[in-house]
Amino acid sequence: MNNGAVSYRRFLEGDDDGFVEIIKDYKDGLMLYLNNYVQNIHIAEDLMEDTFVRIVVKKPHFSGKSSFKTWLYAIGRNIAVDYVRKNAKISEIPAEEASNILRDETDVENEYLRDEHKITVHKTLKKLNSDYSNVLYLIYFENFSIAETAEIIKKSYKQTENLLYRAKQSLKSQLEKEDFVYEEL
Amino acid sequence: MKNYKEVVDSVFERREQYEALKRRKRQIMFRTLTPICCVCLIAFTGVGLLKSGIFTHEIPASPSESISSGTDSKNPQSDNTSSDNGKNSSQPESGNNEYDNVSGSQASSFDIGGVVYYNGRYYAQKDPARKECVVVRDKKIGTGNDFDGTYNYECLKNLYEEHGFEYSSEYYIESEIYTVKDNPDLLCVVLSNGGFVILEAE
Repeated sequence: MNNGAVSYRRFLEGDDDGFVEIIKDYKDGLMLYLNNYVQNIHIAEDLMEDTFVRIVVKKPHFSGKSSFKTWLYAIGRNIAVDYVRKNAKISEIPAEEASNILRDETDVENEYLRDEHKITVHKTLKKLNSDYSNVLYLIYFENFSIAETAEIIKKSYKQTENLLYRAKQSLKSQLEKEDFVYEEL
Repeated sequence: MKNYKEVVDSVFERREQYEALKRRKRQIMFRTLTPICCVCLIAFTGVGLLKSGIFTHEIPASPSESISSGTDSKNPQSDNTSSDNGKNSSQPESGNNEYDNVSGSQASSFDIGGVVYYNGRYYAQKDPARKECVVVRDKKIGTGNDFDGTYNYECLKNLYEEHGFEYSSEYYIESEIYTVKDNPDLLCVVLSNGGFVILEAE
């Protein structure tokens, strides 16, 4: 994975291949992250695509104050939050579609996370509060720092730190219920 | 699930659609705004021209205006009462033997009065300092051009030219000269612009 900022600069200079690289590098991680908001991998995929479309069309300025990935995830989060706000009503999903969603989600998890332990933890994250799962996903799966995570989820450093602490406790207890021990926690 | 190539294709296709939509919107906006702008421009230009007075008929400046603005000279033909003044007075309406109301205080604004040579005598414009008086017209003795004096076009033109001004026929105001009832020392000049002047024998 190269530096997304360089690829983005190339894209802004007119080289569409720069953006192809960005999509290739970040699409799965972004999709899994957005899935924490919508709990539907197909919708998360659409939102991921919307995120890239917004960047391609609007060509927003990347100041370089944060990493490119942080910036990209923050844009994705805004789009997901907008989506959740507009589609607050709970919709019923047919059982067949639900099984498709689950299968596709597992495919993405397997492809992106690869590590068996991580996959198990990621599955457990879905049982947590969405704020907890977001912060844990960003820190343990995307390797963002607390400061970067705070920037993405638009909270202060202290709030993020507290949120992370509570999220860890919640995850630990959830994993213990499932007789699973994850050393990184 | 889409692989990255499908996502790339989809993203760039949506970009094309967005740009096409944007172009179409711009075209529609341009097509709508152009006639609106033209109409506004024409309206503003029209209003501007109307306000500038280009469409209103310009009355040529009277000789008195043209002269008094440049020099101290005054128009000897100018009447010492305005047409409104005569009409608004409480006297009977203009007619052959009507009452003519002459305001001396208004006449004082003119330095050079009119002069007519009639019957071997010079009749000059009344002393502006004199108080208001009432005269009754008698017989018409002719027009301004029938007598030497400042109501005669040729005389007036010569007078102007002597003072270094050009005089055009469009400045000239036609006039009729009347005697005054019971007073042979006075003449009444009725100007075609509605004004009138009382002349007194020297």
